[in-house]
Amino acid sequence: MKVRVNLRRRGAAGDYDLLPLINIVFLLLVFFLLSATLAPVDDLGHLPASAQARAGRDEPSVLRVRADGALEFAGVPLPPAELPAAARAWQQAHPDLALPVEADAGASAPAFLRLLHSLRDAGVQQVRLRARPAGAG
Amino acid sequence: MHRLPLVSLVDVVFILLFFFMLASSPARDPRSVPVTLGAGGASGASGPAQVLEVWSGTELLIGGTPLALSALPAYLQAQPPLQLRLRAGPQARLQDLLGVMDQLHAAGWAHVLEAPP
Repeated sequence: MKVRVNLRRRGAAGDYDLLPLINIVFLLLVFFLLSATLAPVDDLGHLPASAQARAGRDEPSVLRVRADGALEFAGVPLPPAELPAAARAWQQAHPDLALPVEADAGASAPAFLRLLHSLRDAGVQQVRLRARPAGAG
Repeated sequence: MHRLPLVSLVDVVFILLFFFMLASSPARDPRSVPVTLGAGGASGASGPAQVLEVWSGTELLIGGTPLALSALPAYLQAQPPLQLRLRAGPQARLQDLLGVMDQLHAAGWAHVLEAPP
């Protein structure tokens, strides 16, 4: 099949010259590419590996534990002293859900256990610890 | 009869392609390990006998006796499952703890997570 493409057709009724339109669209594209910041990928990047990791719902982690022990709750840095109140409020708002937790593989294990206990004392029944499947990466 | 301006069409499609390539974040693999925290109250109220302490990525203490992590599967196979109280030493990382929890889970051993004092 022979396809004839004519980019510079002028004059005939009902025909549009599309090249200026495409130029403008490209300019807009480049402008937005340069001026916008893309949403940051909010993974810790170093999840622990576990053979028990099961596929689950893709939802943002509510509590994050960084390698240095710093906490983030719902995307906001949180002093450890305020964790019980925040966790209690979250569990009351979501009574049937497990708290999604994302912790760095290099975080201190005893500190993490202490954190789990303070969550339990705040009324959290179950957490879902994000992990990657064992053997991957 | 109109001829389709295919080059323009391809241009626009490429623009859309670039836009979605750059604007979308890579797909996440939502995997997680469920950890039951249980009811409140003192852990170990039911009196599980043995304490397993994760000391580092390679060293454990079972009931105060050192054991290499590589020897843990054989140890777990050699006796009927008990309930363990799982602790972590100051040097242990979360990955070390999760590795031991994996082995306990695979061998059918229940465990209670204990916070260090």
